[in-house]
Amino acid sequence: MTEDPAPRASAAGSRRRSPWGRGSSRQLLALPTFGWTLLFFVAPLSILLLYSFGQMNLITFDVNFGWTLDNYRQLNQSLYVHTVVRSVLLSLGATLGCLVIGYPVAYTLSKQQGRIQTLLLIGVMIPFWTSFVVRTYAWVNLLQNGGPVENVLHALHLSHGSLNVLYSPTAVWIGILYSYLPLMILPLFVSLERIDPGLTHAASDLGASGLRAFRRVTLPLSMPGVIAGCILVGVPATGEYVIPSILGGGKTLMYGNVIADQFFQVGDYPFGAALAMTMMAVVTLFLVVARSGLSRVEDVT
Amino acid sequence: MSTTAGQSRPPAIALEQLERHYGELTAVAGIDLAIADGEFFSLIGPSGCGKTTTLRIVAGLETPSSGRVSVRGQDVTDVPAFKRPVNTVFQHYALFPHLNVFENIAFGLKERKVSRGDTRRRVTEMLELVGLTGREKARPKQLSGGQQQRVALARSLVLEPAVLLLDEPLGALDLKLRKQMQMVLKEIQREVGITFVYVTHDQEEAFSMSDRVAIMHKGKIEQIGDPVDTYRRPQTLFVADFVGASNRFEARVVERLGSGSYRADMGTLGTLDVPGVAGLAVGDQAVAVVRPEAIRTAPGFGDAVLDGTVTDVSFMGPQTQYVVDAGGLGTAAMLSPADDDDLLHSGAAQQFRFAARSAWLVAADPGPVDDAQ
Repeated sequence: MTEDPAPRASAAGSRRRSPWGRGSSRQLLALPTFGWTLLFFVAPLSILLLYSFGQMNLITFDVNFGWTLDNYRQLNQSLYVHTVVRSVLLSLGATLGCLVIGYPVAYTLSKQQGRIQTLLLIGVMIPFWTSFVVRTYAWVNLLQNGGPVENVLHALHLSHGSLNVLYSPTAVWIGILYSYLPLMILPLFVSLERIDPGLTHAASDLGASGLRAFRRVTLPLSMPGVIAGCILVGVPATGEYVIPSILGGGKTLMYGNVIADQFFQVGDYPFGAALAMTMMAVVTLFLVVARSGLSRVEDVT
Repeated sequence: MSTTAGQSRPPAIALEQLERHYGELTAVAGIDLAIADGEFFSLIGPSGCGKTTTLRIVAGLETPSSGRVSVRGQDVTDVPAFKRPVNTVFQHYALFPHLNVFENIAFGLKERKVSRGDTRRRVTEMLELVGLTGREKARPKQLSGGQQQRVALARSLVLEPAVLLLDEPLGALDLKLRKQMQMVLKEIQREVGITFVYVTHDQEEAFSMSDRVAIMHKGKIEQIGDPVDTYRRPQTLFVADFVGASNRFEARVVERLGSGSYRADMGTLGTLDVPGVAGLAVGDQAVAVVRPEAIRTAPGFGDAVLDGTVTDVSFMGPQTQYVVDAGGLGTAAMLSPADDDDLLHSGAAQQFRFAARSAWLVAADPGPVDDAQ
């Protein structure tokens, strides 16, 4: 009791410094989020990591927790290497496709005003209101032989014979491109809309024609949007599971499907865990690189 | 004088019957204007008078509805902005945020494919001219408003345009910096000898820098002239009001005296001989404009006397402004030097005097008196 006044005084002192009270009590506010993350993210991830170093007896289905790197060595098998390569290529291809298609759309959107702009933006987002799985199944109908896409291409004399696209990497690519396009358009739109139109006028005043002004001013200033869009599309697309299952017809496997197979079909949890950890590492690496690029271009604008 | 140079060479800028309509709205309602080479020319007027639109048409950033624009005798009406030999300093500078000071200034040179060495030399010269040597690597957002302004200026001047257009370039700066930049601009203009066309709503700013000014009103030019002439001999009531505070006294022309003077019946002020605009006829209703600084209290000064009561005193430093209730003549404003021995006090009844030759007669406004827009 005799020591009481001192801490009280210091508490009052720090209260004066901060309207929120003492630092530690403010930090308490973060506790629920912290607890949630710990319980549902860090803990499962740790278990997964633990599994990835364990071993499975394929006859008894007993998991043997040890410290073996066997699971990671298995990744060398060409099946898995090919899957990683295919996932990354499909993801890169879809990201590039989204960028090429999305940029002009975002650019046009940013040049509109008022209600027209709002309507067009809603148009970009409307697909989100329908189930993603349903929309992906719709592509089965569109792409199948004798389907609408084939009919249109025939009518335009752009192809003849069967389309033979469904259940191929191309179908998966189209599916990813379609589903992730809004995730590319929106950040691009935001960054383009933020550019002062006066800058384009200034560029033109200084002798840069429309295209030159775009290349030297608009494009570099929209880089934060380009990188953000590529992260939003590229990262989840690498781990895409639903689209390859539906449009790849079980033939065109991506990394997500292989992981799911290990858990649900084979039941080799340790190997599945090793696959999952590897993918996380790949994606994290991609993110780190992209983020450093983002902070560099954002420093400017 | 620079204005006489225009007679031997084609004008730096010539506008003929220039018009710009936005639907029902008329921004520019027929402008004819010739600006001489090397001139510092200002377009002034209240906001919405069409001055910025006119400037943007000259820059090529806006298309005229009709009329022609020529630069140094060459018709550029259909030439796109990026090919015109004019450059603009924008109101909010419009510096490229992703480029540093050097790259901003070199932007236009790169479009012209100027060699690396030449670019470095010319940019360095410009940095010196605007006093930013050593800040090459800074990004625009690391610079103060005044410094950004100088980069914008350098970025345009480095291209050695036939004409430099400035759209309220000092509007975003505080008063002290504005005054300082006015001096800088004037100095630079003299040094480089490039024609400056300056747009502002601040007549004082325009007067302090320009060789000539044009006062715009409702899309038309009301008057063109040198600052002194515009201030002392405004052609319309609008111009008289816009270029400075003015007292108005009703007058009726009773006789034309020749050499630009009229004998006018000014009610309780008596009949005075006052100079004025050409073309007033006997019997015309007119307005005598008297500048606040022309009114004094010294006994025996001038030939017009009005009795009034001081209703407000504002000490402004170099000068003191009084508001005077002059009974049937309305309210009048008076400016006197701050070192005036006996400062008047609010409520003081006094005789206020001015010389009839310091007044100026213009035709009475046909419309409502305060129709400034």
